[in-house]
Amino acid sequence: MRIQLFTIAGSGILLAGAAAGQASKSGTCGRACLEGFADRYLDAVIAHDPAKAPFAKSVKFTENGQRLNLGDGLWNTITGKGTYHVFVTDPTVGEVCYMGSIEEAGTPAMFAMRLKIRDRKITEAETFVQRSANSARGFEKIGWKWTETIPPAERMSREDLIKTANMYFSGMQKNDGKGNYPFADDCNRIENGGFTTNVAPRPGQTRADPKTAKMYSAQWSCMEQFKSGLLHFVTLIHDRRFVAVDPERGLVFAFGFFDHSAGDTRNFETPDGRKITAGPIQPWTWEIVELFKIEGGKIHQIEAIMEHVPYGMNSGWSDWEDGRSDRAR
Amino acid sequence: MTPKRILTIAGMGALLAAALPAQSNSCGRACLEGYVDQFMDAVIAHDPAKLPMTRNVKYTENGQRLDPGDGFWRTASAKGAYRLFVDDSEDGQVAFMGTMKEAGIPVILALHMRIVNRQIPEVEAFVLRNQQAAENLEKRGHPNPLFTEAIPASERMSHADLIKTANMYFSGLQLNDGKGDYPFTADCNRLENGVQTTNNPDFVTGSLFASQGGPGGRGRGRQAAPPPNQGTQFNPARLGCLAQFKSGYFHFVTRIRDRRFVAVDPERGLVFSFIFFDHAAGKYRTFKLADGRTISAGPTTPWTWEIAEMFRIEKGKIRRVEAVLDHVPYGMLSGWSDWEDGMSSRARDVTKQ
Repeated sequence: MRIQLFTIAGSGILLAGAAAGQASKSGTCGRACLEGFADRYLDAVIAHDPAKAPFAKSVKFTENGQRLNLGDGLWNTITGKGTYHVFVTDPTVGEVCYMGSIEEAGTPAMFAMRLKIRDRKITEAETFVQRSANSARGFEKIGWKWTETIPPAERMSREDLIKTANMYFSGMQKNDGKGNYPFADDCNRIENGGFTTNVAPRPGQTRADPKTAKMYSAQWSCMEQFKSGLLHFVTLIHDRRFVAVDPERGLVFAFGFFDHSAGDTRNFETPDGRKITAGPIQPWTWEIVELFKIEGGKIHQIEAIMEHVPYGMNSGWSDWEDGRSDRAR
Repeated sequence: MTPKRILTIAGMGALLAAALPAQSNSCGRACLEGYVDQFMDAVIAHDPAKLPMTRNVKYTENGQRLDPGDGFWRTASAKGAYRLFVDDSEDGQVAFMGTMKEAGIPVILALHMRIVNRQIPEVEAFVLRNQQAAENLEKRGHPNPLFTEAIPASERMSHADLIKTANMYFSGLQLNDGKGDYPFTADCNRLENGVQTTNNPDFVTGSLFASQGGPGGRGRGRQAAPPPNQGTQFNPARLGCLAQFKSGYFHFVTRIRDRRFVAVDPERGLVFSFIFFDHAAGKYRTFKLADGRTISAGPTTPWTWEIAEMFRIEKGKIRRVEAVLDHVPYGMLSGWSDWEDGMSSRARDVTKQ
């Protein structure tokens, strides 16, 4: 099966190359071209020199949701690339997204970015640095691959891919165990470099039971976690921006924010009527980059990096109303 | 002048203030501070209706615009003992720095509200969720009595000069080189997150970075902050305000921006401001002290402190500085400035808007 997938992947790349020749917002910039921009961007950051990448004059640059001048932030401190990376390349909209390990001031960290390419120039650079050595080492060690191609007959539309990925957010927000959760049986998730689903109990440890547990467990499958209703304390998933889609590989790349409002929102009921109090006790927001692998309408892989930011923060790419909304965009 | 004499004058000042005709908003000291208590009562009750906010009120918490009722409104649980006010009755502004509890956990609240016609159109809250810092402040029980002492009438500085002097603190600290004009009294001291960070050999400059969990930290067990003052045994915390600034040690504070002076109390010589301190790291960490030694210091990754800072100024010199600092995403803005103003190092008197 693995060999067959690689063969299909190979022909997929050829197909993509042909597709890129068709009309797209990035002109004739297909997969390799777009990924080349990502490489050049990262090389320029490592050289601490914005002149080394082709920026449009009016480029907008953000890092961790804050607009900065090119040359500031990570531009001053990055010291190298790591060994792990994944692309979500979207010639249709002329955007390329990247998540990978880097080294900053000699310490491993995780990095994600979205570049918008117009007329062979970078017009938008949205970046996110997750400053955790353990996270970067974890991603490098696990080394998930995302390049396998979906057989052409089974490919989903861009709209359906986004719709499915958004069901993950809608199912988690005020999770009540009763929603429609499109998870494949083999669904697995890595957050900040560690598995947070299907983790084997430690020797001597009993597997947590969703029927009695008071807190969701990383030992559970994706479906068990969502059906438990125990993630209810995620009160709002806002500023949901689906920024790149790759139907050929079944990939969706999203930025979002998970608010945990605390207070009364910590008290809720599971689907079987048990009263639970759980979640952060002070207001808490995660800024999140989330990558989904979706096949046949089901989510198979989820990979996320998240950083604690001031409660209610937005991306810097939305007005306040959109930023606070849980609408998929 | 003996302390007794000062207190007598302070007493007279209070009487004079009370006797003064109603100011623009006819809201004097007690009235302004009453709004702060109303805010606390309303957040503890989790009920925005308990605070007389205008319909279009703008509420921010830690630089983020939220709907009243969200954030601290859901979690505030009690008032604390430490209460420091900057009353600006001339401009209808009140600022506060002190302790509260949130879900039973001590926090520090810095607050600024504008009062117009007995209504509140602007509420800017800053909640420092750092238990140790809040406990430090709470243990003090009350602010330095100096902050309620009136400046003798003949020595009072103008609103504009008070802001100008406070801003010299920021300008002296930004890319600090030891060569600036630093208006400090000889007995000047600074309190940051409840810890005295001047004339205090027990405190290590830079350890506030570690207390926030190091780069990317926010107390989540991430990387430790770098050891402070690498390359020397120099610890500025044992020095006074002036000697610290003259050392050139704070060069790694690369930018102090979005400088908003939100309340000024000339009678007590107090100025209250919100600002951000950026530390760009990288090559900016290595520099020469005023004595010619080269050192590397400051955070190793881009670092921004969101800060509420209060100054007591007497006869053109800063005598006390009190600040609350929280680690936020590098380059973050206040929610009250556009990007150009937010990234600028220009001082902005926003009391008159």
